[in-house]
Amino acid sequence: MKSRIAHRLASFSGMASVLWLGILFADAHAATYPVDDSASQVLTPNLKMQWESVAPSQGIGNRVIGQLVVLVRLQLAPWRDRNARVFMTLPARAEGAITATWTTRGFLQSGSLRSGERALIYAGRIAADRLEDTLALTLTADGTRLERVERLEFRFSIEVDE
Amino acid sequence: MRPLIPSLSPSRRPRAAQLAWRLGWAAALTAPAAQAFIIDISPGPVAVYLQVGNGSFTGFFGSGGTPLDNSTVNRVSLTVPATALGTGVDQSMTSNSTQAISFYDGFTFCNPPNEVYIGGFYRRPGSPNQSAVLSVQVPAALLSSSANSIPFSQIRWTSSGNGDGTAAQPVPAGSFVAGGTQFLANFLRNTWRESCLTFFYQNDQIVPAGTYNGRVTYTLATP
Repeated sequence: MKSRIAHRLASFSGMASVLWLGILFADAHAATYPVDDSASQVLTPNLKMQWESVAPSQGIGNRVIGQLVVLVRLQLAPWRDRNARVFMTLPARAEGAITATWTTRGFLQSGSLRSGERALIYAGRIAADRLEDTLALTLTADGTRLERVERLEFRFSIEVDE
Repeated sequence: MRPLIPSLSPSRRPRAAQLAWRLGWAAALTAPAAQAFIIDISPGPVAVYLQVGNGSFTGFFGSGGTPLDNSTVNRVSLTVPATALGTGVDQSMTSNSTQAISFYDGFTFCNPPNEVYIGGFYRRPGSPNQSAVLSVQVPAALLSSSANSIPFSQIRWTSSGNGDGTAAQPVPAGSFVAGGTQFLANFLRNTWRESCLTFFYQNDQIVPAGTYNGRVTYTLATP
């Protein structure tokens, strides 16, 4: 196998070689692609976090919490009829972790994640061009480390079985 | 969009290379732009709470209690026996406060009527070690209806709390400084501070008979 790869790589220009390497790498590691969710809608895009306990307390400490609804609409047409796993991610933040917990109406999986992690929200055959669900999302953060308005960007990716 | 390998047509490549070429085309044609749903979150609100004497709460903090307004102004008083007047022997004062428990956790922290509860918190986001300042505004004197006066500096207090032993109290012992605003303590952000104050009249002078009144006002100010 190595000799065949070497032979084919040798027959292409430099740019083609880069493409070949990329495709072979993706084949070996279950290709991951970003998912277009531009049709999604956040019903409360400017969320005022509230102290979970109005005063400092031993049990709860200094957490702030916010709740909102997100209408998630994922464009999955490129992977229709393929088996795949869809993940939601929230980038890590230096100011401390944000925890997101959500429930759904059943099309996507309920779950939770911390910033810097990804969570599985769908696994199975992609049966339609678009996957929609409503997320009741709860965000929790350390209130002592949330000092100014911060932007959270939730992204989706898909892992497609080859 | 131009193909990534313009120098070779698919028909001239081996089969695997053609597949790769087509996959490259498919990826180039269908790969969606990265998207995200965006939420802007803002910090928790700044809040401050001060309770002197009787206060009101819905439940306790541990169970999600919320402070309520309480307009009660408690009174601390004593009657000096004629035989003790002006002897310099401190006279213990009592209050009409009934606040024994701390709304922090329901613990019986003070012993009214001898002790007056004082406590509160300063809630703020961010990590800087900022504090709210507890102060008391003190008139120059307690006055009688006959315009006689007793300097407010004749009143002092001790500070304690059940279960605290001899530990330093957040609101330390002291005496009023007549005619001004007097610093008492810092309330570090996001901490609960409380003490129980017991007041004494220092009884250092002989004053005309009468009822002497005065009001001090405690303030918790945020930066």
